Amino acid sequence: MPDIKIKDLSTEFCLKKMNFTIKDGELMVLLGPSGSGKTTLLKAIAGIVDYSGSIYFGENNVNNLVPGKRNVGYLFQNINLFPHLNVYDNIAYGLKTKGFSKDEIKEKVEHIIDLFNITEIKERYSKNLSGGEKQRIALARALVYSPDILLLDEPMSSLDYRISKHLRMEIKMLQRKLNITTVYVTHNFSEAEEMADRIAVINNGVIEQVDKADRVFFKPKNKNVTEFIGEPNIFICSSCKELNLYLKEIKCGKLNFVVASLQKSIRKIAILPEDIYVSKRKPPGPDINRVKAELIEIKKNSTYIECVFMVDRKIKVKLAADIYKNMKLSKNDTTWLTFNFKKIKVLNGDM
Amino acid sequence: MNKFDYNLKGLVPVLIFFIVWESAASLNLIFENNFLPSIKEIIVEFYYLTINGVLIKNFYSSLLRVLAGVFLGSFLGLVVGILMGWKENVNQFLGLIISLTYPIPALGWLPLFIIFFGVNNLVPVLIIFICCFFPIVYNTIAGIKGVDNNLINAARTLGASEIKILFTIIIPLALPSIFTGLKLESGMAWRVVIAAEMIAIPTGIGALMMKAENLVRVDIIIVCLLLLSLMCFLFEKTIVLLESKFTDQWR
Repeated sequence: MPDIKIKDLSTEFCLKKMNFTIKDGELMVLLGPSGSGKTTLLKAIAGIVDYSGSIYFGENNVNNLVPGKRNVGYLFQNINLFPHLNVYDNIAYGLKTKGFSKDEIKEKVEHIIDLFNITEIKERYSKNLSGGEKQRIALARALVYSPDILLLDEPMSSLDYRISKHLRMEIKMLQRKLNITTVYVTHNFSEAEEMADRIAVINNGVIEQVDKADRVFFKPKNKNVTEFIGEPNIFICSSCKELNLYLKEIKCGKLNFVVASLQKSIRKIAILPEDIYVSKRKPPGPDINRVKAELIEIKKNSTYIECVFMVDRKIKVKLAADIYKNMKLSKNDTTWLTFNFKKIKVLNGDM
Repeated sequence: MNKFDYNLKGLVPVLIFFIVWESAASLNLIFENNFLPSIKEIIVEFYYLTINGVLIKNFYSSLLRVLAGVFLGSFLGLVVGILMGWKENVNQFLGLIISLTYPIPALGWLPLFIIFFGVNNLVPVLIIFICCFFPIVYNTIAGIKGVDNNLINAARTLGASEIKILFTIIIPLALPSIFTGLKLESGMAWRVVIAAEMIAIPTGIGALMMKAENLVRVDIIIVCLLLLSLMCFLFEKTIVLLESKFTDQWR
């Protein structure tokens, strides 16, 4: 499979002189807020939007290739199944245009219908399909002609959590199996973290950072990245004790944490301000992942309240405006902070 | 749901209409002297007109004119509409001339055509052609332009050429709108042909009605009117049937 090199890519309204490379067989996640240019970049790679600059697949400049000759599989955000064709014909469409023989088409379509477990609905039309089914069919349609490159635009946006979890695993497995260079667009960091080999953070038509997920999280390159992903509280660990294979107890100054990690030693952990809970009284239950802290600063914002607490260091916490109002917090209050166990991120490797 | 599943409710007003008619006719409520024929008299007259061939001959010439005009008008309208909806420069090229000729009522051409071509079958066919052409053109353009651009892009990434996209994606998706145009014109064609025959053409149902008027044969006029109503209805329903055959499964 080829890599994708993007050189000085600009579009009229959106992208500004982008430069980066997506490696051969890699799953690159484009992460950024709405309107940042993720979809436009995907469309430029597919060739369905006008751009200046160059895009290379491997050694080939594809600027002059029409979309159909670029051999990309594109899963659109709004799915775009052809309403007048049934499931089978939707999947077969790409094969027919590419001139496969009747027998080959039948074989390939049947094979992928089998793989995606959609044999029972192959005669149906789009109006009679659920969101999850449409998504899988659109994916099958994009993969059936063995594209060199797979482009996925917010493939989970229309699905509920349970189905999307399942489909994410399926996509990840397929991507590994086919070793297909993939670009995956999302605005959700945890989705990006789960899927990505690397993440490219896009803001305002500019690539802000291209990195592994935990580097983006622990070492955000600039303000635009932290503004979108959130600026985590980062704790440097002074000691680490193994409770069992999965659980580690670590000390960071005055604070004690129990975290889930397979690593032998842990150097840094991080937690986002919205994943820390505040209570005025000591919460019941075992004394794990919580600490007494003093509220020293309150910053009001339109949608949330940012509170800064003091232990032996500052800890930032984001509270929803209504929760903040109900708690009647004021400066210098002594409160208890509880850290969401599942949301504590452990830095992998060294940084 | 089958579009022919008229429920019985709709038959009630029709029945009431016939009852009122029949009572008015037999009791001479509106006119004296049996001016308004009864239903029975209509049926008898229908039978005579059929037997002696007058009705069939005239109906046949009207029908042929309608079929020829509708077919030519729809076909050319479809081709022009598809080209105009698909290619913006064709649209710009033909847009003005079509906008300028569309407002002229189809029957408005009649005196001109009679002077140019004389009284023959070409004239009503041309008139029907004109009356069919425009609704088809406009509805086809609307249908073609209404196709979601995202679907066209999807087809492009799947490797389809522009001409293939036109035939496999754009035209099939424009069919509902095209059928709306066909439905409009199929009824209209009958209305126009009758008008043309009443004014200028000596054969056909319209001409028969004019002759009946001269002889004050109300029964023949009513037979013709009922026949017309039936034909418009049948034509429109045929189009509806075709439409549901082509689009119901996915719409």
